Amino acid sequence: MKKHTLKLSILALLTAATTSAFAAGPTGSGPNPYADCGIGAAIFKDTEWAAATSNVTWDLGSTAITSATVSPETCTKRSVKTAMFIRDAYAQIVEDAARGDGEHLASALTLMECGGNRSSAMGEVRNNLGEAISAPGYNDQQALEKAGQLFNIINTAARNNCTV
Amino acid sequence: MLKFICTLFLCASLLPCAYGNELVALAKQPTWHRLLHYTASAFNSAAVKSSIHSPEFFAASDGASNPASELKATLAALLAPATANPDEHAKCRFPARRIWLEKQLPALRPRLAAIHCPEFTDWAPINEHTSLSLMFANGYLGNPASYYGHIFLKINNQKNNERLIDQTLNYGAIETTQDDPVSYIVKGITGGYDGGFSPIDFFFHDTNYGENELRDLWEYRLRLPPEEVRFIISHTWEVMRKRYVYYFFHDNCAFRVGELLEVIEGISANPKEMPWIIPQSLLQQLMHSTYKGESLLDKRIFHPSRQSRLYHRYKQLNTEQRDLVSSIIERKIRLDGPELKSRAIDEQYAIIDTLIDYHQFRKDGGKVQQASPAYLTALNARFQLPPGESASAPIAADPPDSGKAPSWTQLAVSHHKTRGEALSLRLRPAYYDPLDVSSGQARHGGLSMGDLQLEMSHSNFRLHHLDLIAIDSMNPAVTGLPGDQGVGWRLRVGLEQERQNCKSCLTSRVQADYSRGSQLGSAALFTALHVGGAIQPDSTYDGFGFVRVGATLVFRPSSAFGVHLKHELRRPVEKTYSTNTHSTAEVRITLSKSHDFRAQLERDQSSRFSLGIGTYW
Repeated sequence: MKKHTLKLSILALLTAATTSAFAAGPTGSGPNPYADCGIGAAIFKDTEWAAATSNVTWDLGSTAITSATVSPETCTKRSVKTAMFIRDAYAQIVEDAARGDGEHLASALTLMECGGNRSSAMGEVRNNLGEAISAPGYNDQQALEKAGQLFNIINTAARNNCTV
Repeated sequence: MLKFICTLFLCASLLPCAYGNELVALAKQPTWHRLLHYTASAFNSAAVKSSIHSPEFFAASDGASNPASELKATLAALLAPATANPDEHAKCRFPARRIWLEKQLPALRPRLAAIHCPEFTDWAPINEHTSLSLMFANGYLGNPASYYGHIFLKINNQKNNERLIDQTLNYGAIETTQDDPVSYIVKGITGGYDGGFSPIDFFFHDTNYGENELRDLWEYRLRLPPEEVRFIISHTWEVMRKRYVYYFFHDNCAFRVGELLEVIEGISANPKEMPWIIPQSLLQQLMHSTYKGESLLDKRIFHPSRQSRLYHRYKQLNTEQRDLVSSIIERKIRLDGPELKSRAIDEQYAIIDTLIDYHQFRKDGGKVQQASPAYLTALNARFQLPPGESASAPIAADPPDSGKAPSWTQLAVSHHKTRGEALSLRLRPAYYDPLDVSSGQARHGGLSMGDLQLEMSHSNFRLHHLDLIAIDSMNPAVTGLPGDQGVGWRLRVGLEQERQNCKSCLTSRVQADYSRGSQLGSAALFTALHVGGAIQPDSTYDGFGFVRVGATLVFRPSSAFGVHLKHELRRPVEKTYSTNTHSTAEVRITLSKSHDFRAQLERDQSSRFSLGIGTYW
């Protein structure tokens, strides 16, 4: 029983730490849809074999997720879509950032409503992401934590650099 | 018509009183039937029934089988006063029906005018840039539902072609995840599942197909006037999340997407009078389709998978660079060592990008959440370089429409030492073998269902073989790097003669093999070794089954000519039966896009030789 309680306590602490990490994020990053809007772990990555490809279930898009909205301001359809895009296309966005440009990073900025001065925003994403992935413990994070971190980096870069 | 219109005005709130001959005539229009997906009954050509069985798709309670009643109810609903929630009004639920009726009933245009539909507009913000594309995902042997590829519709809304955030409409069987693979196949074929369209962001497909399943995507952008684009998108909104019955062979993704285009009068998207529809057939049909005198196809766009991008990058490296990539992967040298750092920046880009693609290619279908340390090292190295990319030639690939038609019939003459001459008829409804595989299919591989060959000699019929399913999943090992070393598999289920020289020694068999293949020098020459066996009911020559080893060679310098050699040694599981060998040599020459010539020699304890002409259809 003690062991069970200890496990639950550790789980609760980890959950709290993860949630607060998302919610706080880097300075100026604002709220984060992963923590606030009920976006779970990557849905399609856990899809059963039969449900893959031509047989994706209803509402794999944003509908089901927006229904879990708890914070209307953070969880607009667009920010949820952006969060899902970053979650699903995480590797390609990071690789685009490493190269300095690319359509996945460009689309992430578009979803962040970055109209002008995008090259500066891409530069800032590149610098901050480069630091993030070389930091100790980066690869110990769960996929959703990494996505949350990337969301904040792009969001901050868009706010600092972009014109609408 | 005037009488009808006048009556409508008089009875605006009691529209049913306007039900007259004119309305009945309108309900017989082909476009109305297409919008409601009515199909004629098999037993009574005068009766129709909608392919959709969701009650909310109909305005009338008997709308699924009564076009006139549905038209009357739809019109009444469209003319009804505004609702508190506009999305619930018929004008927002049935936007394509509204557009069509507005055209058919000029006198009612003011009352049938569009209203703002927030949900629809949010999903598909149609503008002057909006266009439509058919998207084709290559065949995938990892899932029976995807053997023949997959088609979905993409709505291109972005001014700057940011395809990733476009919307798509995807048709598939639903509620399938609780079933085991066998039930899944059986129910998929026999109509045991409902099917339907669901809205999916394109970036999901981009990752799922391109990154996880390593399938190339081909985009066929359509040339259609804005008015027709709007009409089709409006109709997609009407059918979204509505339930059809799903049939794997005909009423599948390709057919249903084709139907969406066919709501426009004058567009013929689906191949007609075919007992089955394969996604590639739809694309081949599209190449010949026109609308108002112009080709329906605007352009093709290739979206290569991670695997295709890796192979492309790797092919562009010289031998020294390839060795360097291999040494880094095998940890013989470090990524931050002088061997790489001393090279020109463009070379460093090319080598590190190849490594990045390689490590992502090797990840386990997106199931592993942690990135491999080697991938992270490569990524970090890329971040250390200045931003930029090495110059790269575009990836060349044959589009999937360029291949042959999916079905094949062959008429052949054969000779056997004891059985003499025979006439042979072979029918392979779908799809390809190593000698006629084309773009969009697994190179050097094979996939067939229902492959039947009959022989007739002296008024005697003999079944040569019947493959219920035969899959040859070959991997060419283009790079030869660890994890890309040609691991493949084969599966064959069906009936075949145990020996050439028996009159009738037909047996049912399940055969499976593990294989390792590689290209020799170029993609034209491929070899594979395989180990496997078969299980079968107790039979004359091989008892309950055998184990085997074998080798395959495919030489196909062009699509016009190919040679396929197979040799295997079979050891029956029971010692009372003797070890035996089976060999096949086949040569194929393309005569035209729809005809081929084949010569084949099969040998076990005796030989059978055949010459045949085949037709693709």
